[in-house]
Amino acid sequence: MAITISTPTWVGSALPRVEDETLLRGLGWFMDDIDPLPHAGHAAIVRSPFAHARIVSIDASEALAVEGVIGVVTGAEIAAVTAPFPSVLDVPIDYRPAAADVVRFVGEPVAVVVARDRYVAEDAAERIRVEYEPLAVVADPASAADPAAVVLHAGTTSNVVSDRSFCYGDPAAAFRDAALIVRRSFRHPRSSATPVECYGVIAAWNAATGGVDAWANFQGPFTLHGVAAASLGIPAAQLRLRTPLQSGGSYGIKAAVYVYVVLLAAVSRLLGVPVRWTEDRGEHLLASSSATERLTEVAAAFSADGRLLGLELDLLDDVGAYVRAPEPATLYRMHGCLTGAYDVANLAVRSRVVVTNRSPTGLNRGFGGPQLYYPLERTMAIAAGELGLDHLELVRRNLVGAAQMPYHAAAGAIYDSGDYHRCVDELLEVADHDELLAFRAEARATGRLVGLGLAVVVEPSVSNMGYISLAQTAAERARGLPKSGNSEVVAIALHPHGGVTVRFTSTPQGQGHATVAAQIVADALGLQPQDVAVQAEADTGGHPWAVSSGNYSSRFSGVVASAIHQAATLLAGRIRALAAPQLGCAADAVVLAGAAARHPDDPDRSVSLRRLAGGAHWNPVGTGAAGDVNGLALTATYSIPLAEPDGDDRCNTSAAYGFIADLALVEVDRETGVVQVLRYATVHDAGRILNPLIANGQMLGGLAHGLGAALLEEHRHDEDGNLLTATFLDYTPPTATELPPIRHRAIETPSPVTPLGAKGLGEGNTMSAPACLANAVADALGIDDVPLPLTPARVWSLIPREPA
Amino acid sequence: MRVTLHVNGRAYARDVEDRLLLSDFLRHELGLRGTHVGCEHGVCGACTVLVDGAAVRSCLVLAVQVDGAALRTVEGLAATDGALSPLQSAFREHHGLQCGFCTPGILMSATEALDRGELTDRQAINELLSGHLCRCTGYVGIVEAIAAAVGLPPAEEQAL
Amino acid sequence: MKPAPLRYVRPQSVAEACAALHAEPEAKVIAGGQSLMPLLNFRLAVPEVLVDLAGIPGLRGIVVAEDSVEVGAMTTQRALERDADALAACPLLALALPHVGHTTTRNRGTVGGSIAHADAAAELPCVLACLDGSVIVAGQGASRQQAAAGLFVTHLTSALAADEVLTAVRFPVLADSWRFAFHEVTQRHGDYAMTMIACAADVVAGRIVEVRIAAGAIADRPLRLTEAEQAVVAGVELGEVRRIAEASIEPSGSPHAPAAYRRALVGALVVRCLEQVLAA
Ligand code: FES
Ligand code: FES
Repeated sequence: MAITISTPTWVGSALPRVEDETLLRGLGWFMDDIDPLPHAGHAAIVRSPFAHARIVSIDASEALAVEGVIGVVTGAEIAAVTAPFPSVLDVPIDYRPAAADVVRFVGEPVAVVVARDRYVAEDAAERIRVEYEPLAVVADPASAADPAAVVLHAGTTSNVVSDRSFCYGDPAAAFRDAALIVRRSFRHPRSSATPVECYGVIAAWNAATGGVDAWANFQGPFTLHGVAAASLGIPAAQLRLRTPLQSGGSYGIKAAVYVYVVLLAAVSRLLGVPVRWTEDRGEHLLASSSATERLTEVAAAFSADGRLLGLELDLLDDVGAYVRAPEPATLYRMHGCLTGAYDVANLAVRSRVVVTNRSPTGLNRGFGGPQLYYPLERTMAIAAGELGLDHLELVRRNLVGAAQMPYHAAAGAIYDSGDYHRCVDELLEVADHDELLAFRAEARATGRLVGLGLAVVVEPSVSNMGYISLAQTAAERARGLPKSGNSEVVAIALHPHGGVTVRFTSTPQGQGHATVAAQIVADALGLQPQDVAVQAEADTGGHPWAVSSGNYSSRFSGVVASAIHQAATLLAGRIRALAAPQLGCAADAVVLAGAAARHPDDPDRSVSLRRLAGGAHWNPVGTGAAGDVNGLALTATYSIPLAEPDGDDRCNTSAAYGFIADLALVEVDRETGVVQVLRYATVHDAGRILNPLIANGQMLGGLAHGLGAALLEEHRHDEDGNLLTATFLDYTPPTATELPPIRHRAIETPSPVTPLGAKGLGEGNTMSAPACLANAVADALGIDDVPLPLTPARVWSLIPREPA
Repeated sequence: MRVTLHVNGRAYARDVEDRLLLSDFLRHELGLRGTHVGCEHGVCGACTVLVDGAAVRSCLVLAVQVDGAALRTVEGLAATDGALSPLQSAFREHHGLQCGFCTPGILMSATEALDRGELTDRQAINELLSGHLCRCTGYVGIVEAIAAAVGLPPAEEQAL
Repeated sequence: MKPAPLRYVRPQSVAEACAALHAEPEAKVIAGGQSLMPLLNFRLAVPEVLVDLAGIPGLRGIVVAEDSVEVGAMTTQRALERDADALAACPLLALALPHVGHTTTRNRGTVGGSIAHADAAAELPCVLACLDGSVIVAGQGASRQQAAAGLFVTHLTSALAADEVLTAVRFPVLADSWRFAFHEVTQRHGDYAMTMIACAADVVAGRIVEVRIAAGAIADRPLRLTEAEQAVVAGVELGEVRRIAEASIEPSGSPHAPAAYRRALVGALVVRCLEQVLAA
């Protein structure tokens, strides 16, 4: 049999996923499926019906009388065994997993019932009598920021709990010299990625050790494990947090489940039983997490020939009733790249955080990107109109050029690679721009409301762990530990019988991490992907992890894949060293292929990895592996080099920056306001694609989130802070029938900063689609002011009408 | 009340509370965890199972209502020799799932429609899917997987 | 989100069902349950007894007669949708049924249940109102026929007494010269409509000589737009009919669809329906 020595390149191939068979057979172990602590009590949470009120009294006597009830715990009791969650902001906000004396949003937990099953727990929860004394409500960021507004937190003097200003370059001069200044205000509404699986937690307090064993469909540990441990008042090592093998989606939203880990652990402590809780959809919509609402004032200064000279951004982020970590990160995730895809050196930014009587916000796909690009890209389209230029032309005149890479953006981002102009050119081809223009002209001639929209966005991935400290001044930062980088810890082992296990903590929620990890390891060791077993779930007590470990900021392909690659390469080196004496060649020359170590020149001289591993494990002395047998099981950390923010508040907030250009053609139904997207085209450059099948899926999934947020989704509250979109009939994510025909293309400009050349890619279209569709609808209607989301009733109200 | 029924060809009998949802019955009484719960108000479709051949949302049915019925769940889709059904295989090939939480419900709806020969074009597939939420995939992979299982040609670029 | 404690009964006859309802004032009928079950899960409905009609023989089935399509109350919406004869005899059903929820809810949701539930934004009540249909109702005494006019009292309330059971729905069969249209606007396919219009028109030589127009989701029950109907028959031009239709209603608003928007939709959809029946 002929032996091919060349290594198959798994990385880059569209390998179907190793995850799928389990899921397709219904054999996954999702949070609500697992039962690690039999006889755990089932919790139901009593939540506030008021957005702001004082709790006068809680009477649980009737609830305790319900047969099957194990106990009831009140917010005050929970407060007695927890500490406030720590925050990067130095403001006296006492945030606990349940309210003790004042509730600040509808849905805030005030008590927890534990019973034999969820049905009984809900029966009892209904019988808990809570008396409230309603307080004045501030249910939107503008009124909350008003100095005359009621202040939510005693000890603060304003609901604006953080107010930072930044200046890069000389924006004042840019505005002085401008031929045109465009000023506009925008409101980015709250929306939420609403994973189909809701939150779930199991927690048990160990009265002997004072430790907690917990399971949750969390996506960390991340920085939030420490936040949870701090609130529980226990050493972080005593909080063993595990994630189940499968998680039903998150897109950032499940990061906030840590608050419930603390809640359930406290309840377990107070009642002396393990407790479990599966959030229902009502609870999820009411009180889990969402994107921030952001009010943005943009001022953009242009030269007469359409050069963007300077930009002023005034950002006000509504984070809800408390600043729940990692907030106020929504404001800072995009900070380094606030100038988007444009070459502009002069930037002034004011970033404010305001608390309101609404549920706390957090990670949500695109995190900070949609809030930035909707104002920025609308402003560019509006400016084009005022300059008498085509929008496309204005964009082209201002895009960062390929020759400028790596490009140092005004606020500190270092765009690592990309050819933005080429992407735009290819977009026009993919979209068939000429056809779209002709169609628009023809349709308009017959009175139809047809419009074209363009958006270009820079998509950051792999967050710099230091960016959140931009919420502090340079002086405040200097008092604490410097923060930088993003790391992952990978353990890899060659088994005595061959086969490899690789373990890391990326806590995937559908992104196919196991498949890509298997591809990387298979390449490095000359194996088939099915020879590689992958464990990517979190076990904070079972596997070393980094404070950055987890699933957020599209960090997998940038940093986790790099770490896997590094660990596999290290293991390959040790295997080569072990094989070299047996093959009679230099270690460096040993070829790993076909599950064997091979002599480079003589295909017949080889030793299988199974034999090699068996020898090293069973006969370390004889094989000379004695000193190094453990070398076949190694743990290695990879860190991506990203500096802490500098003294001038410049920060390379992410490791890699992809680029996306979108073009959409829409038609607005004049009578119903229904927006029909006739074509949506997108071209992205996310560096090297590790698995095109999975990359496509991530891109399309991210786009669906963007389209949903653009057209359908908004968490609406009335002025009393009541959520009006509290069911899936009112909060309306798109289904297959609502999504348009999509054309897309991927361009690969490898990143020079990641070993495999890959960047993140799952969030860019979530950032671009709302901006692109807003531009298209503005074009269709010939108006400037286009609020999101573009629901039929709202668009209908925007349609210019002849006076009656 | 006592509930006697068949699920995936196997007979079960259990005494349950009258108010128990079929979704909870399948998951927690019978241990058939492949049926997922995403909303409990009949919108997401994750809990879809076949009751006497018809795809229905198990969160909108009480267990006592299906006394005597024959049910099929995602665990019963693969052939007796363990091979994935052609529909299941198509989901894998076309990346029709990511987290896989919505998948069992969609597979059950599509299985009924496939068996009845109702999926004659992509429009029909889309309409079927309008009863299901998937937050991961953007539906493209799902539509293509079902289209492949039906035997429709790959999607073409659409004219305006 | 789990139902409150309840007792489930499965009577074997209509009389038994009525007796069960009579005996327990806090009882509620469950047919397909596709509207009721979400209310139970949210605990917005907390009946002590649930009377399931599924065990009663004879409540399923479709009879296509000369003058009506009579649908047994427990016939699923899906079964009706698949009955080619019924749809041919009553084409408005063919137009409206695909808008009722989704295939999986129509697989279990029943025709009688949808009518008796009397949701102001549901399609089948609107169709029944448009066609001047009727229902057969059984109670403690003899069964009676109840016309669509008067059946829908307010949102989620029908004219049925607490101990009555709806046993069949009659959709009138109209002469061959009648044309039909059904349009609605929703946030998403299968969602509750923001406005719907059902229309039946007798078109003779390109002229509408008789017309029935019903609007759903704009008031607490389906409404017949009688002023617009009269205007159409009087030969008023469509633009004016639209204004008459819009002026004749006082729609309720919601966050997704404010009143002014619903009013405009009524006008737009009435015109769409009329144009369609005239073009057919
Ligand atoms: S759980 Fe049944 S439809 Fe969502
Ligand atoms: S695959 Fe995750 S929700 Fe569909």
